[in-house]
This record gives sequence, structure tokens and C-alpha cells, in this order.
Amino acid sequence: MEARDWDLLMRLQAGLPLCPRPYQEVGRACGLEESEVIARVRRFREEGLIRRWGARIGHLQAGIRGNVMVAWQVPEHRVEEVGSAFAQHSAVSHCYERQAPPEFPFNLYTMVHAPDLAVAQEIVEGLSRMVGVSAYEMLPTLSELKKASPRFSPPAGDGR
Amino acid sequence: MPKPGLTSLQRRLLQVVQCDFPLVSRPFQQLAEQTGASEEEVLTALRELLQRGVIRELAPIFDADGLGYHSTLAALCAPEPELERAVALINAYPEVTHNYLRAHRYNVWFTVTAPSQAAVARIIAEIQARAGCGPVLSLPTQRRFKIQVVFDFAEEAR
Repeated sequence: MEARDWDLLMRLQAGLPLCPRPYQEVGRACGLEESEVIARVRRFREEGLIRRWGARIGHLQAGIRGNVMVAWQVPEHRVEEVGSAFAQHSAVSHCYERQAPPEFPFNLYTMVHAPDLAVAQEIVEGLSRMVGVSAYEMLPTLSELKKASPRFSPPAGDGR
Repeated sequence: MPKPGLTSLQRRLLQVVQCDFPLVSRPFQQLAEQTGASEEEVLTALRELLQRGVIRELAPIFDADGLGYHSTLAALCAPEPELERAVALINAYPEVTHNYLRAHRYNVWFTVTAPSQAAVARIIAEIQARAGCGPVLSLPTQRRFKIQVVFDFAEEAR
């Protein structure tokens, strides 16, 4: 990434301004034409540097009260199949395979969202039946203790 | 999903802006055309959603790995008397971006994002030593099957 790209990325992290031509506004701040901002963001998306280009939702503020992280114990040879199946489900927002530590031998993690916890629980039971995996633990979200966006900066920093 | 006081325009907007924000000169004008409102109405509706925290921010989600960063999901068991102190010391790290309290024996779950694997490991070790709540689990991502937060707001609009 060139310096210009980092400059643009740092501006975008702060959020798009709510004005009729937000890309022009962002461009003005880092010396780029509007069309160049759009082209660079498009390139970031294509290269996968931007995984998602849109609004981040506050679950609780949006009235979504049944938020559960589920830790699944899935045999190694079934992770691909089970992970893909979970990813298809509309109530599942995140599905990651993780390296499981010996103290907590669960290797597949999903976030399930529903209007309330009872509905979320039913969805989780449904997922379990769907893939035939019964070793799982539910970790309902009680509260959000911190939620900030990661702030990335160019690698030239102090190495922290 | 029951949400007090979301207008039908706001629900329609939420549905669209979550994963596919327009990359055109006048994105709010395009959203207006998609939702049958005016550009000004769209801006007003989004401003209110941001103000209320229903939308956290209108910003991209960057791929930490692709930018040369490393991250992990970490967890610890903090008994009630220790909880407040442990959370405060964890949250004080700028590298900790998310932290959730969960109903489980491992009740505190947080993410650490830093420019190197060594920095991530150092922060985890430091938190473990300072929190005094036993071992801190670290569960780095191996593979992502889905990272698209799509709630069906449109359903409510029916």
C-alpha cells in the first residue's frame, strides 16, 4: 500500500461524512479527486482489504436482544462442511474456525441473533440438529463492555 | 424484530446499507432511489440512526490480516468480585477493540488486534498476569466462513 492509500484508509476509518457527496469530501481531506477515492475504495474491496463496505449495526440499540455466541466442537474432517452449512443460515452473522486451546476444546464459533434469547436458543438447537453436532456451549451476550473499531495505521509506527 | 420507533424508511435503509453501500458520486441519492425517498430524507434518517447508535458508523470493515495486523479472540473467567477491575484493565488497552460479558464460566470475551503476533501474545500475557483470574484463553481465527452482519430488518416492515 502506498502512502496515499494509508491516508485514505485512515480517513475512511473515521466514518463517511453525511453529506451529498461524501467521497468528494473525503478526497478533499487527503488530496484525491472524488473519482479516485471511489476507484481506490473499489480496489480495496476487490483486493479484500475491505471485507465489508457498509454500516456497522448496534445490535442492542437496534432492538436485537437474543445474541448468543455458540462454541461448537466439530471433528476436524467435518469443519468445512459444518462451517459452510452454518454460514448459509440467516440468523448466523459470523462463523469462524478457531484454534482451540486444550482448556476449551471448541473449534467452530458462530454468532446467532434473534429478537430474544428463547428464539435464539431454538435456532441454535435447530442448527445442532441440522448438522448432527451435539457438543456445543451457548454463551449469551449479557452486555457490551467495549466496542470500538480497530484503528489501523501505517506500519512505519513504533512497532507496537 | 421489535424495535421501538424505527420508521419504515429507516428499516429499508438498514437493510441496504449494511453490506452494500453505493460507491457512486452521490450514494445517498442512489439510496433514495432504492427506497423511494428523497436524498435529504435519507440523510436525515441515517443521521438519526447514527445518533441513536442503531448504526455505529458508516465505515468499512478492513481485513486486519491484509493490512499486516494480527488478532485473536481471548477469554477469561472473572468471578464477580474481580469483574469490574479485570474489565477496566482489559478495556484500557487500545488494542482491545471489542469486549463482551457472556453468561458462561468464561464470562469475559475480548478481541486483541496488533501489528505483530508477538505484540498480541505480549498483551495476552500481560492481561493474564495483571488480571489474576487464571489463564487467558487465546483463540486465533483459522478460517472465516461468514462475516456478514445481515439482520432482516425488512421483515419488520411488512
